[in-house]
Amino acid sequence: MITEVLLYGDSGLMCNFGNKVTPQVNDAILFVNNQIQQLTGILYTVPTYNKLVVYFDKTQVSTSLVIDTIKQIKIPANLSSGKVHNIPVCYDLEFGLDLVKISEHIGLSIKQTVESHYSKPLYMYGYGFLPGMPKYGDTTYCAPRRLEKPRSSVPSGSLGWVEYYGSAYTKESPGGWNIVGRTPIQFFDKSKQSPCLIDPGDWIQFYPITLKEFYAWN
Amino acid sequence: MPGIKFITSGVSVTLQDNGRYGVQHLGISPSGAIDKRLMHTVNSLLGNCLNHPVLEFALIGPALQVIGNVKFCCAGKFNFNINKVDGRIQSGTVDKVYTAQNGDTITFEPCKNHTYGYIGFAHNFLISPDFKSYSIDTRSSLGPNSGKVFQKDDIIDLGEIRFTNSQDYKSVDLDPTKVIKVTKGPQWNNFINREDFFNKSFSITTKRNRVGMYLKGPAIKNNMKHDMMSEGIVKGAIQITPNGKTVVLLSDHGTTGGYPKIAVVCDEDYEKLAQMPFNHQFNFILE
Repeated sequence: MITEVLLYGDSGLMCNFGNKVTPQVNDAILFVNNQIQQLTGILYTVPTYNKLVVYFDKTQVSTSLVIDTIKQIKIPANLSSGKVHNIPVCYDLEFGLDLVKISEHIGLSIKQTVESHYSKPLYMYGYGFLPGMPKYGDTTYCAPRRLEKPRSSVPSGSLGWVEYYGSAYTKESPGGWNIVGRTPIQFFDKSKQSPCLIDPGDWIQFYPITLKEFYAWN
Repeated sequence: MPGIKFITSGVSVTLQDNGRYGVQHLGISPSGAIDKRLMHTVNSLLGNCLNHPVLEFALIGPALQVIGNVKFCCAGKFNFNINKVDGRIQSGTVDKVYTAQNGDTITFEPCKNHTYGYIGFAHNFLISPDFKSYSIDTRSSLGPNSGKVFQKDDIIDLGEIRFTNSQDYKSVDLDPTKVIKVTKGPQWNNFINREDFFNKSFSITTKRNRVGMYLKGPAIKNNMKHDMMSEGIVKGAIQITPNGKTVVLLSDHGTTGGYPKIAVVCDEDYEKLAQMPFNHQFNFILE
C-alpha cells in the first residue's frame, strides 16, 4: 500500500500511501506507524490521512535501515475497526460561529446542516496542530474551505469543519477552521495516563445538546 | 535551598532540554533547545548530562538574583556581570563555570550578532516535566511554569550544587554564515520558480519565534490548485505561504501543516540559520 518513501530532511522520511484518503488507508498507516515506532532510534512519527512522517536519530539508526524496515512491514488485509465514542455537541449559534455560512455553502437549512453533521459516525484519522487535536471525517456534505483570515482566538471545545473533515480545538488557540459548534468534552488531558480521549482509528458519533445542557455539563 | 529569581524577564526566556520526543503522533510539538550545540557546551562544562535542562533566551538574558550558592555556565555570544552583594562587579564570559553567592545578581549584555543564549546550572531543577521533558512549549502550554515564558519575580527552585568535573566539549563557531544547505522538500516539484530560491538572497526579519521564522526574499510560486491535506512536519522544513512568503519551521513547530514545503534545512545548518541575527543576508544551496 506504500507508494513511495521519500527523504524528508536529513533525519526524516515521508511515506506516501497514494492519493486516496479513506479509513482503510488510514488504518494501514496506523498499523505501519505502530510497527515502526518499535524500531530503536525512531524519535517520533506523525501519521496524517494518507501519509506517515518518520523522524529518527541518525546516531542510533541508519536511514537505509529505517527505509528497509518500513518497506518490509506486511500490512494485514483486515484491520480491526476502532471503538465508537459518543460526543455531545451544542450547535447553538452562540457556539456555531460559521453555521450560517456553512449551511448556505451546502444549500441546506441550518437544522438540516446540523443534522447531517451528527447523522453518522466520523472516522478519527489522527492528531495534529495542537496536543490531542483530533482530525476526523468524512462528513456527508462539503463545508467551505478554511477562513481566508484565521481567527486570532478560537474558544476551547470548538469543532472545526472544512470540506469533508473536522477537528476539535483542545485549547483556546488561533485557528482557520469554520466552526460548527462546541463540545463540553475535554479531548486532551495531559495529567492522564492516556492523555487523549479518542485513538486514531476510532469513530466519533456526535449528538446534539442544548445550551442549557452544555452549561450544566460539568 | 538554592534558586534563581527573575529581577527582569529578559526576552522569551524558557527552560529547554533535548525535547519532548515520541509523542508527536498525539499532536505534541518536539520543542527542545533551538541550539543544542550550546546546550551541550554548558552541560559539558558543568559536568551535567548533555541534555540537562538549560535556560534559553533570545537577544538578551534576564537579570537573575541568586538564592543560596548557584554554580552556572553560559554559552552564546554575549558577556555578563555578577553584581556582588558587597557592591563589587565580577565580569563574566561564556564557556566558563562560575559560582554566584546568595544575593548576587547576574545581568546580561545583549547577544552580539547572534540570537539565542543559554544559561546552564550544576543543579537539578525542582519542578516536574510534562511527557518526560522539561522543555517549555508556549504554543501548546506544556512544560514547567504552566508552559509560559518566565516573567519578572518568577522563582525557579534548584537542588544543591552537584560537584562534578567538566567534560570535553566541541567548541562551536558562532559567526553567521553566508550559505545554508538544504535538501528537497516533499512538494519540491510543485514550485515554479525554484531557481529564485537559490539564485536570490534571503534575509532574517523580526517576525520570528521558537515556532518559525519568516524570511525576506523572492516570492516563490507554486502550481497547486487545491489546498493540501495536512502532513507531518520536521524541524527545518521550509514552507511557502499562499502569498509566496518563506517560513522556516523551528523546534516548537506544530506536528502537522498544510502549506507546501520546498526544502528542508540540513541538520548541521539548522542551528546556524536559527541563530542568524536580524537583517543578516544569506543564500540557500542544494546539498
